[in-house]
Amino acid sequence: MALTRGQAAIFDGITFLLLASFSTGLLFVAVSNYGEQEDAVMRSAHVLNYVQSFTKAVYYVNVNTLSDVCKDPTGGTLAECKGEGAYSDLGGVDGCSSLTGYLGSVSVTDLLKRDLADPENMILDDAYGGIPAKGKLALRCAAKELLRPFVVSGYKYYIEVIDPSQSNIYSNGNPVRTLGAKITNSMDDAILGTGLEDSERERVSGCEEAAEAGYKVLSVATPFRVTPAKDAQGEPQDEKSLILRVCIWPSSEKSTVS
Amino acid sequence: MTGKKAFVGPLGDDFPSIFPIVAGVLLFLGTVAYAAGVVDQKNAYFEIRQASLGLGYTLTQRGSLTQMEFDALCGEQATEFARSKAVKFKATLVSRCDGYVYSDDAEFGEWGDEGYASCDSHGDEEEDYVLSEVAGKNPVVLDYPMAVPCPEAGSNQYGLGSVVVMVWR
Repeated sequence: MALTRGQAAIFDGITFLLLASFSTGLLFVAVSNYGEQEDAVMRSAHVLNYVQSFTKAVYYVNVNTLSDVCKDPTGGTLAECKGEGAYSDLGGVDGCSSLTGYLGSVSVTDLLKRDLADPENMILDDAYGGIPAKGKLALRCAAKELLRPFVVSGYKYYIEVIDPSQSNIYSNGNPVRTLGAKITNSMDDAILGTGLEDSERERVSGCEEAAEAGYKVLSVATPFRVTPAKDAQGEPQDEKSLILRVCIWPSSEKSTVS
Repeated sequence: MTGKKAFVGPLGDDFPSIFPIVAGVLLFLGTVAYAAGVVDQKNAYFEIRQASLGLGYTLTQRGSLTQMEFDALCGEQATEFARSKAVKFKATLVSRCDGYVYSDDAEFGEWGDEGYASCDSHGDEEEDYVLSEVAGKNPVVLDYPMAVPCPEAGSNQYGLGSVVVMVWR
């Protein structure tokens, strides 16, 4: 009888030890996961504040100060501004160095508005009517430099101008047509609209496509008013209430900048 | 007779079970103490990060800053904010007119006098913080884009720049 009682007691002890081990395991798991959500929220808050600061800064940065963005300290052209990356065309004669001729008082957004003010035809094409107005190029050069910390960390960005009055393609508003290179460092075919016909490709919203592709996209949108030039009859046109949208997301896509 | 063979008294019979019980209690209490320490450590770091984000918001209210505007913002708002959150900070307005240059220790590169202006939680009354001491306190470093006068602090046109905020406790 006593022998049986002794075995029961040690069995209780071992059971207690097992329960204690299980509880400590749970505690370790809880502690290791503690703060993950808070960490993610703070990370997003920082990214958003950074992008907001970028959006505010481009209202003030004068275009001609961006002419050296692709210049190597030794006098040549930076490797990222030539070759095959998203910035490959920024190092040429029509790249960032061509912004040197603008007056010191013209900011990036001033030039972007001028680029968009084409009479009866709002297009991001680096031209106002037939005159060069390299607003898109200036924004590309500014973004290349100012968003660099996130680009180096593996983030992709896409900047577009949205017309909320047009929503037949995207429910949040169609992007204004963009001719040629998009304002992004992404080389993803879906985001760039590669393979689509020109008329469709010019209307692709990189932000919407990135969200559609499952990326965790953060975006900052700011009101962007543009006064179009007078039409062919010399009649002034109504001011357009557009939106300047900057999207950014972490991506496993190969970085173009090291 | 056989029933009494293993009987070592009413307490002695339960004696072996005390070891696993004591081990279990010690293991559990040790883990609770460790968990409390880790949670405290994480909370303290979150508080510093939260404060650094608040300071970042304060100093990036505008899209462009001159030396005087930065000094005013820092002296009037950032210092008060840091005091209310019980953190120390150093903020620098850096000119990047020639483009962003990053090195492995870029976050500490702006510590010296390269910036247009800088301020810290000491104000003007005490001596500057020492970089080597601050680096050992695991500071949070944030960098925000900002339009600054280029190519010199007194220029009329704005170019690339940034505000670097370093926060620690």
